[in-house]
Amino acid sequence: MPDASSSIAVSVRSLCKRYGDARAVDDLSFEIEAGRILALLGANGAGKSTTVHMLLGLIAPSSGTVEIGGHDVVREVAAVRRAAAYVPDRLALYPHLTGLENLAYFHQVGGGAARSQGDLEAALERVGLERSAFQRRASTYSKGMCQKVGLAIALAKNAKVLLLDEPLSGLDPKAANEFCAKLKEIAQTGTSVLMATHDLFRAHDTADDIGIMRDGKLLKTLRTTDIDAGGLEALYLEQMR
Amino acid sequence: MSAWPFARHELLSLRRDRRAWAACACLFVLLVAAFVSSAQMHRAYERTRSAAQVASHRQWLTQGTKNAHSAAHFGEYAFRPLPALAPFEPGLHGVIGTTVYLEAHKENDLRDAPDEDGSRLTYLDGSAAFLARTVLPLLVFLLVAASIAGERERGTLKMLLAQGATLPRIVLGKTLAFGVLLAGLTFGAALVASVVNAAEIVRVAGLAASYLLFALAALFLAMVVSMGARDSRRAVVVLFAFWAVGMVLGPRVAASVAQAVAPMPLRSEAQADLERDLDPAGHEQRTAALRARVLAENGVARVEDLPMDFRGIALQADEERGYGIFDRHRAALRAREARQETVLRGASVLLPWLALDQASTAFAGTDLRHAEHFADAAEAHRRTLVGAMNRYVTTARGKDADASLWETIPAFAYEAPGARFAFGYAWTSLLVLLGWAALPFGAMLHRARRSHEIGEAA
Repeated sequence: MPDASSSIAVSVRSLCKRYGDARAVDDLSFEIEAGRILALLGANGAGKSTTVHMLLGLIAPSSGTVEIGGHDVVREVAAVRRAAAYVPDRLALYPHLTGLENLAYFHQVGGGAARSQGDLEAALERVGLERSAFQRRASTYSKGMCQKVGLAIALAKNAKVLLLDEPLSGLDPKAANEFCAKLKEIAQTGTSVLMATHDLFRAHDTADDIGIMRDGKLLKTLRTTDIDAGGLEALYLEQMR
Repeated sequence: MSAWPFARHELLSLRRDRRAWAACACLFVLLVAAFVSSAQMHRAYERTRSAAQVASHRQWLTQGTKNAHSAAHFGEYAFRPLPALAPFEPGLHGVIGTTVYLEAHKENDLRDAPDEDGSRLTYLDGSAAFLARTVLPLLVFLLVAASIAGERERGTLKMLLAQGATLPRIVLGKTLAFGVLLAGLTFGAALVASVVNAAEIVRVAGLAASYLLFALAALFLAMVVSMGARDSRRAVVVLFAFWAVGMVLGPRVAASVAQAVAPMPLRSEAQADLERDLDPAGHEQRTAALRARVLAENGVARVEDLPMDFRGIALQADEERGYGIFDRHRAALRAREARQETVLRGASVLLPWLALDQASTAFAGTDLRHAEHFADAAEAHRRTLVGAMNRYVTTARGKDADASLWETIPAFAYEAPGARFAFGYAWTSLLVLLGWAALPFGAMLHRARRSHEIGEAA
């Protein structure tokens, strides 16, 4: 049973994922408290996406445990998916549906409470999607617009944990800034965020905590208040050597 | 969370995908057009056939005064009625023959007149039924291949699962949507077929059940492949291979195996075998033996002293000897056909296209068994006619016969067997199709559950 008084929203202990002899994720442990943002930094192949996928139960861990909202991902995957929302790097929408229809469909299949069209439109407005785009088919959307719909889908779920896999990749600077600003707003409401990214500077601006990964291992964890952006870059490059 | 939202979403996607919509509409229009034109063709053919049957009997009745044995040679034609659904599903109708000339001494045009290659497959006949059972699975494969593989490729499957949807629900929902589409297509076409062929509603129901089971089997198989494929292109390639082997190559190979297991003789060979057994050279000797026996039985020394005309007795004895030989040869040919059918039915367990071919031709009344039913009725009529003529020769003692004798022979009236006849043996094909629908359905559910449980769905 989840401990209601606990402020730990995400707990990862000794998490491993092996593919034959290769270790995609190796003995990973970290926690995210309620209302905090953790950015996992690392080069391509560091194991960030595999970690996010294991947190959602999309990939079965080889060993270790993951708890989200107090639910174990192996034993209670449905509860974990109810507690967490996910925004992938290339947010996939149904091109023949409008932005509003995509939001309504993903919200419905998530078993979310019925929302009026007004509520759904408000969710899209909240993430900064232009009203004129609501009724346009997603096939006409830019990547930034798709990411905004993805964030709206996640927010509409009222999830306590947001899992973001490279959400800033491909976004123009303005869209990326807007996206990060929204994340901070969301975290202030008590939602915990895990953001896998290799954008050092936005990670530093947005996150409360930073984890640096390489070859499936979490090499370093630190608070962003303890280091400036330049220092983070130097530390990151040192760890990547 | 029920499967319905996924089904509704899939139906909406299909509605907005004009290519899918157009393909289904084309197939539906093709089927409707086939059934409507079938009904018109059937009416036109039956008018002609009935007129020909009446004309043949009128010729019989108006052949004038003549020797009754000459009348038996004059004979009559038996025209096989066109099954109402034959224009939709011609099957072997026409390949086997539709007309039998009924005359003394010969069982003409054996209903089992072998095809050119001895095959019993209704290949490449260009009929609506052939197109339906060839195009339908292709359409299903192309529509369904991307259902799960496409979601995986796009990344929407990951999103759905992360939202809390389960793979079994997604798969069931999509299957429900495609099932509704296929059922609508089948029942729509069946409804039109029932309206234009009201008398054949049970046979139409059998056809509809066969095609729907086949379509569902294709649907479930496609879902299984789509679930396992990394992307929709791979799913299409795998399913196209299934189509090519299962619908085109496999049945052809099965037919060749059946022909090799029980080769059908060429018509000329069958005729030569029959002639040898009929042994016309021994006719004189057989007649002499019969004459001796009949004279002895009647206690006379000359045929002129017999109380009846010996020629009639000899003719009937010759006929009855022929009946035995014809029956034996027919039974031998049917035994070969039965062996071929056994091979094809066995193969249909692996190749559902064959099961559908068998069920479709059975319910349309255009398969071999329906043709045999007609041939047997025609042969029975021939024997009635020839027997009556020989009895007259026996008793009339050389007196010619006239219309009063011809009128004792009723016009040939063939009543085709009802739908129960077809269901009597086509149920095995239906069972195979049911198995083919059930097996991939089970595999689909099992795979969906397993993939979901072990976290490999996305």
